[in-house]
Amino acid sequence: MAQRIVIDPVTRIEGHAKISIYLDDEGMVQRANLHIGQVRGFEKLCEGRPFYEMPSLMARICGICPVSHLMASAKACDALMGVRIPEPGANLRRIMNLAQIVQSHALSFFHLSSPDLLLGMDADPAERNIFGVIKSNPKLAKDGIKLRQIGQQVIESLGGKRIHPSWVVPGGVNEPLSAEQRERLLALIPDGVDIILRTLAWFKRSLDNYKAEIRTFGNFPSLFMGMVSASGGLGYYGDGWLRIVDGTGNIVADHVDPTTYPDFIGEAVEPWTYLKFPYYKPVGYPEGIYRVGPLARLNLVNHAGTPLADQELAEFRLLERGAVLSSFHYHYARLIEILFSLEKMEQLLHHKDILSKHVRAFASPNNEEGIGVSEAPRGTLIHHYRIDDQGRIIWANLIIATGHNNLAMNRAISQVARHFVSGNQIQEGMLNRVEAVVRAYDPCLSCSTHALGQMPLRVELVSPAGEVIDEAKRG
Amino acid sequence: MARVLVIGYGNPVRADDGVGPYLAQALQKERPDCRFLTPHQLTPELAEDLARADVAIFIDAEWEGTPGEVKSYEVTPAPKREAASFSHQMDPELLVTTAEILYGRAPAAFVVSVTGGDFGFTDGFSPEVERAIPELMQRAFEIIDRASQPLV
Repeated sequence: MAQRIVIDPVTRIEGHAKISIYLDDEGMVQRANLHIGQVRGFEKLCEGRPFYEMPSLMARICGICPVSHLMASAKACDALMGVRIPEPGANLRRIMNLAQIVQSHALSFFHLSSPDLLLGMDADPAERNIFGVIKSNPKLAKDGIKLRQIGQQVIESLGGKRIHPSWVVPGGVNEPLSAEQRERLLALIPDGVDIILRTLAWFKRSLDNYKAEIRTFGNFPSLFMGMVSASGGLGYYGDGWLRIVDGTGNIVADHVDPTTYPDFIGEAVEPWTYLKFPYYKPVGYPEGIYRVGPLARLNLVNHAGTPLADQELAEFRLLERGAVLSSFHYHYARLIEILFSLEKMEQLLHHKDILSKHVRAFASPNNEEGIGVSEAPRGTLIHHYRIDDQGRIIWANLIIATGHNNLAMNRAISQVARHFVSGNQIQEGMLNRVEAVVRAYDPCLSCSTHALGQMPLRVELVSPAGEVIDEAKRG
Repeated sequence: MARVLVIGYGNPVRADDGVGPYLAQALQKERPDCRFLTPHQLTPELAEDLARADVAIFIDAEWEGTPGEVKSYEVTPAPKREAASFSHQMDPELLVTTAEILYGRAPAAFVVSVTGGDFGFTDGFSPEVERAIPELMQRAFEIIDRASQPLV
């Protein structure tokens, strides 16, 4: 009898998700689906609001990546105004965006995924959590907190507060950087670089422990998409262009204007999830699967763009001859991106014009439509707005980084399930690997709300008739 | 004077979920001698903030219970607790435990909460939570006042 295994919710990701694993009559995995049962609703919420409110409103989408939404939203508003913002203002935005990469990647690696990586996928779940990490490697746990703090302190210093800073505005930023601020921020960076270099060294040493996971965690050819800087390096602020490479590392499309995204990105809908399935139109759905985020970015750039990160990228690329295909290596890529972000922040803070008072352009709306694109920690983020003649939002479309990876996450879960699920018994090791492959993508399904109390992890074996024939709980 | 840290957390555009930041800001006007944070959610680095406080108050909206129901209770470190979920679902107990283990000290910590009735997309509060605000303020003041009394 065909059966379905349900994992609900998936833990240690941002937001709530459920996984169904469909077995055939022989107990072999047919397919797996990642269900996102939340409606975000922000696109409707903003209709009728003045366009200049959008950055601060859109930042409320998420408590982990508000800065990313600030950036894409502010850039869409810049486009509505038809202004080119002063370069010092753009550089200050870049610094905040880099700090966002640091704090978000640190959360993903040190606090969400390190229990799996440090303690092992088969460790007792009572120990395989952050307390287990704290006990077995308190230095690593403190390093994670310190890196988060560095990112948050930069954001707080620039924006006035850690979460939802209102400093990024249409046309630039509200306040210039002071010399004292610059010195304080520069003083943070050496500690961060030390932490990430020793973490990279530890992670690379431990890779041999994860040969099976590297082989099976979403290890398949796909397209990779992301923004590159004008020099072809890492460029999260998104003032370069989009590049798409295939699984062999060959460039499929280059110098793509990201504001033309409707020409090459389609969005498919499936009845079992609220999260849409973006795909590369020239290839079609679902074959037009592509991945975004740290792994994709490292696969498609010519170079990182800073000295230490370039060294690490060169070593990373020795993993495979073409593009690095295993989604397990999102973790590795995240660490290299933290290193790059810290180095790049330091470079920008030393820029000769960084203390300039000229950080904002002023204008009324000059265009009815504006698109802002940037690279969020999880990948390419697109904000697209239309306004009426009073400057009020009449339509908005957001393509969130996690959405781009939806097809890839579903395929990755199927691959892991096929490898680790055997028969119809719910096994802890299988469950954790299925969850861990989702965590590798660091999906942000953030519900933009929270409350006291936690949902336990619930796993059910359900017959086609709807009968629960096996059940497991934890958390 | 004890070092009091008030963390009012939640999303101000998700109706009752925003009651934590709202109350923290209201309390700040009355008690500028305390330290106030108004994050969207509880995140790991707050453990260090907690380790530097003597008393901590977490103000939040709950899902469970009857809308408008006010609760206040103490939370203590629980190092043996299973903490499978460690992300945006961090809670006060996890945070004080993290502070205790990583930094060797945790404050006396209390939760002051109200059960929300509306977590939709709006910046107002449900009538039940609106009516509960004076009692929430009172309970937070009581904890702050107790912390402010000299030791005898």
